[in-house]
Amino acid sequence: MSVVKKLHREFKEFTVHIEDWEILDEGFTVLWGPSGAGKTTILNALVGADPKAHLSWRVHDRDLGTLPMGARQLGVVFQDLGLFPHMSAQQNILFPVNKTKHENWQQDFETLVAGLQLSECVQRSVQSLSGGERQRVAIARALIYRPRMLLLDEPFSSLDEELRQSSRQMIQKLCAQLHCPVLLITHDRTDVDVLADKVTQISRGAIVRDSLTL
Amino acid sequence: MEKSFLLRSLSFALVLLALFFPVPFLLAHMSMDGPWFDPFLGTVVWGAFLQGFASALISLLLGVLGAFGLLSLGQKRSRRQLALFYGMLILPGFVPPIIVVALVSKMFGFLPLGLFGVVFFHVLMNLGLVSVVFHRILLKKTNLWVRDALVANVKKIKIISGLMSALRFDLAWLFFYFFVLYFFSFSIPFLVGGSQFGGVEVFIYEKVMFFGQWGEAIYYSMIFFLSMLGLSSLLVGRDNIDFKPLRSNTFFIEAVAIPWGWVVPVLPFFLIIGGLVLSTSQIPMPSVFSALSLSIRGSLIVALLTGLGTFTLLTLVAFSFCSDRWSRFLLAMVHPGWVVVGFAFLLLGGVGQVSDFLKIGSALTILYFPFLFRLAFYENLQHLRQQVLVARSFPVSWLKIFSQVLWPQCLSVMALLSGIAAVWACGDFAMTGLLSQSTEVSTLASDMKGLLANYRIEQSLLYLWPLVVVSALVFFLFQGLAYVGSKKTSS
Repeated sequence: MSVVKKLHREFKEFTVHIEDWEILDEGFTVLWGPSGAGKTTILNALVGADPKAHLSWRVHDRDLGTLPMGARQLGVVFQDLGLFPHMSAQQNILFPVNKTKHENWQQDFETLVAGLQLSECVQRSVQSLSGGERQRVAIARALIYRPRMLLLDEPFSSLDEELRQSSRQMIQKLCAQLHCPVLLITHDRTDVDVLADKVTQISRGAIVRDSLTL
Repeated sequence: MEKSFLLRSLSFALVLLALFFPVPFLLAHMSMDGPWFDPFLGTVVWGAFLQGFASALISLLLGVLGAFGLLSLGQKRSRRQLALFYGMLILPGFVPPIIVVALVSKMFGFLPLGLFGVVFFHVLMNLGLVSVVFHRILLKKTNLWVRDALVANVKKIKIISGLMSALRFDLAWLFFYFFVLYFFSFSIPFLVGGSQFGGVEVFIYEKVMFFGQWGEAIYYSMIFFLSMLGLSSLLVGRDNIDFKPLRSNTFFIEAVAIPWGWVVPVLPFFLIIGGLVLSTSQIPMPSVFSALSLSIRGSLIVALLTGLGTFTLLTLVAFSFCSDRWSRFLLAMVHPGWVVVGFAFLLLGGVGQVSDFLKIGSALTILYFPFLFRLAFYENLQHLRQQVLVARSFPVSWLKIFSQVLWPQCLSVMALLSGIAAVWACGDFAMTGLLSQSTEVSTLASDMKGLLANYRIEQSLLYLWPLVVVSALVFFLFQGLAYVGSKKTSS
């Protein structure tokens, strides 16, 4: 388990404070709560995108909270995906790869493309992809460099129900295959029921429930 | 501290150093030998106020008519046709004023002067821009209001008056923006304003050129620089103009279009084209071209240096990818005035034409940069913020983020803005007049201005076509470089 301590971020009329929170080393930890509860604020703090947020995040004797963004080795898929529109799907996926350091990048690329069913669209521009395809490209991009954890911010919110179900299964299977723990941020109860190995419920910036089952 | 953070901070510091380089000179050399306020200052400010007010009011009235006219083009034209039409409307605002003045004088056979002249040229150059901006506001804000009014069977005239009332703050902002622009404008009042409507910048410029009163000129520059900075801070964030036609359905708003209203803002374009066609008889023979070679060379060098300077500053800003707060600071930034910038470069010393050209190009870069950044670059960078955030979450270097994410998506805008800077530099006569100490340094615009100032209009037109050719050449050169750059990046 990794442990987040003293996560604090203050706004004018709203404060997010987490004293002590454990995130699983494998499987899905789901941060669940309504809109405006502070979920994305927590994600930004964990990722290092918010310089005003303070936290300590112990992972194997390293405090990620003191490291700059890229050095935290996290795979992040933000809500709006942030794909690079001038690149193809393949270029997007391979963007984080350092080809000299990452020897098996081609094999990893093929595993991800097959696992996320992207074989037919990797050469296309991301602007020509459907919503579901774009989301899978963003997930492949976040996983390609073998991050220590995958962080997903409301990944299924823009998909229709049928696509949501298949996407959940696909991600679950792939992350188990890659042994990559996932922190999923969602307001959707179904995500909790289907995916969660641990549920942290948040409301008004504070944890109100933290348990293995809901 | 991260190495990339240091590099980014350094590149932003270089930008600030360039922009604020003249300010220490301003503070060190400001002095007043005479009274604190020149007795003629009141007349100058009143003249600037009158021409600014009249120009802004007429631009707005005609521009709003044009904007309602543009609505009638909406769904019937393709995106490309609309973009081309927008280009025709805003083009007069980007042509160097000296060319516009020469073309109009050719078209009418005389040069409008005084208050009428200043207002006429201001409106002519910016009418299309006002129409395009207000057209965008109409499309963005009022489509659904019009739908509701149509459902309630409200008459068209009532809908239009309702829209004008609902958009009164936008109209007030547009008026204020253009009033500030006209109040502080330089080239048009200089060329046609005469003594009473020369404007504040010309008043300062003449203090230096005719009376050698540098200390006073810098003192007045400081006053106007601070007032302009204050006004510009009020306008921050509101004056970004997106020229891309909207894709969304604008079906309802088209019901209140004023058919043929679009003819009004497109007239200046045809006036300029008409002037160009009429002046084809003045296309110089090759022998005359060679006689002008020194001035052509001067214009080319000044334009290229200014374009390159602008491109360099924009690249540094993109590389630094400064925080939102610093971006807004650049958005509010204004140049400290022609005289101060020119004076700062004069004090740098250096003799000879290479030094003169370098100083003119650098000075023009500093003068044009704040406006160009506001025009399109701020918005361009804002669009990329989320992508950069995502890229920074990966273990990749800042150089990779810059070269693969920022550079390819900024290149075309940087080339466009550098091209515009180069075209404006082609039309510069003021900075060249201030900084050219070597007799070898002359440009087409400075020669042309000399002839226009002596009312030798026919002779000045001899310079027109070479100036147009050089302007077009440098503009397309920068677009070509961007094209090559983007191909190289993508390959």
